[in-house]
Amino acid sequence: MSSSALAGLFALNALYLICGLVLLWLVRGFATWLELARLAGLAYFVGLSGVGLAWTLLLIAGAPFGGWTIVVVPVAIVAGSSLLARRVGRALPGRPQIDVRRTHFVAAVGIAATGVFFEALFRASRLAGVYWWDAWSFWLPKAKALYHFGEIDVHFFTTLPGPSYPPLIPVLDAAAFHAMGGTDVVTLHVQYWLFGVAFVWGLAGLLAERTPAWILWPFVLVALVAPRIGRHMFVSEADLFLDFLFVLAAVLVAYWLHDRARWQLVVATLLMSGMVMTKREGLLLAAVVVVAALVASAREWRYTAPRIGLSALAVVAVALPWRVWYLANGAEGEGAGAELVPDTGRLWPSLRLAFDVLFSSGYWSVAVAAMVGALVLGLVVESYRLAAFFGVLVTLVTLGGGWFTWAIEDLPITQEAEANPIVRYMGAAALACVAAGPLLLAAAWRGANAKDGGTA
Amino acid sequence: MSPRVWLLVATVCVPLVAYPLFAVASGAPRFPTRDECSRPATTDAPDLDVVYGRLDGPAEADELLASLDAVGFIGAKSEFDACGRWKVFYDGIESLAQGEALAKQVREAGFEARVEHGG
Repeated sequence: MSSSALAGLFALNALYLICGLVLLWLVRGFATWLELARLAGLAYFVGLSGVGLAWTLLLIAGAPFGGWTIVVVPVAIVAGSSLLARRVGRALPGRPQIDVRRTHFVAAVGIAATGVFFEALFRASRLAGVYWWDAWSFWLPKAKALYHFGEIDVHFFTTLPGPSYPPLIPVLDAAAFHAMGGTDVVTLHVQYWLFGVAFVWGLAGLLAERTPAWILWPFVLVALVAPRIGRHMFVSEADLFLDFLFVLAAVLVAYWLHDRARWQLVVATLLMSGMVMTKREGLLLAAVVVVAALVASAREWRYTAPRIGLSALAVVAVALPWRVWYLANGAEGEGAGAELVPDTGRLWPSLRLAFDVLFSSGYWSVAVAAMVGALVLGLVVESYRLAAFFGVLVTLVTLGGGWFTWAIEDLPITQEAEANPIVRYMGAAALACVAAGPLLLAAAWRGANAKDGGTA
Repeated sequence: MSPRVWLLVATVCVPLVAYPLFAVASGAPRFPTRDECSRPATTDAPDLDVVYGRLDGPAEADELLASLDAVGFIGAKSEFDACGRWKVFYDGIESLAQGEALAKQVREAGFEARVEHGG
């Protein structure tokens, strides 16, 4: 069971990667094989989101979820995207011209250290048990039900905790069970380990084109050793997966605001669509990205606002079917437990809680503090758009955390994970700081660029 | 490839290879197998079951239950075991001898059966 389960899981994830590479090739092309390798982590999440969303929407529409669906959908995506890419004239990647400089050795050390970290984490994830309440109480039961019955059992899904939580994660887990040949909830942690590997690869690959290695890799390593990030990367819950999609989408939108390359907004829209089908907080986080982009591009709103609006509409269109499904089947909505007019006495303590969690080095090490310093430096060198985007992004995420603690009066105002999910939620803000810090510091280092050249 | 490129590759690959070699130097980890969910009984105990099979899904388990029922072996049930399979079993036995006798009857009827510790 063990090695065949692993082999099946890796084959499934290779399929996600191939789908993503073909989709990225379609929307942007790859200049060289090295560029393809650099963006492979992003490609993985593109493939995962594309395939996962297709499976999820088909499932909601009533299509059976089983062996054939699992294979046919990604194969169709690869075939269709390849044909389309050839039609629009995408050439295969060329050979890279490798000119090794000292900075590459800095990157090599960073990559090696990251690799060793993930090797050590693999050992923990390979034999991890299911200890987290959300995982055993509803994420995994839903995944097992999908695996065994091939459909969304209305009674089961609407009576488990979190009935309004979208089913993307259970769908991905069920696909993993099919690949492993059984409901191996132990080996499933390797799937989450792969999410972590791909995220770090994707983020580093995206940031590397605009950030010197000596700025980038310390942030990556700080994130990995932060108590609530690196060590949690194999936990079979949806929080970090949501954060991964959020941060990658945010970076792409930040790049789009500067480059105006259509593929960046298209891919960010796909990732945001994945967010809204992962957890109900995904809606809030997607809205945060949209608002931050609008605020940061206020001076060019005639160009950016319609395009951001179109992206938001596409995300809403993806989000709608699930919302229709659970309302039609009598499940509680995503605002369940929230008061329309919360007690104002809770407002300030809730906000303070969110900011305390954000700035806690016990959870995120120095990532947030470093980002704040980088933000100030970014403003000093007049990299206003980049500073505005990430400043608004992190602030809104934090305010969002304060808001839900305030609005859901059953939630005690505490950092205790069993009582209030604020710490898990704030992972999105902390990871956004890990992405923003290097970009802002790089802009500060370049210094003399134009006002909006912070991401060049 | 130039020597600098090889050096770059080595900077990445050497730690990635060295770490797992170092980690398993004192012995590879032991991975449990699904067989460890089956614990054949050899003595009397309060938790004895006669196990008719462990199936991959509830549909197969229900089929086996129906087949057993059809030939008169009633009272069996199915439940999810700790190894991700569906166990079909009868838990109404009070001694190893009773369990062995039942298992022999079931095997003569063309099914599999074994006395195991439950739980």
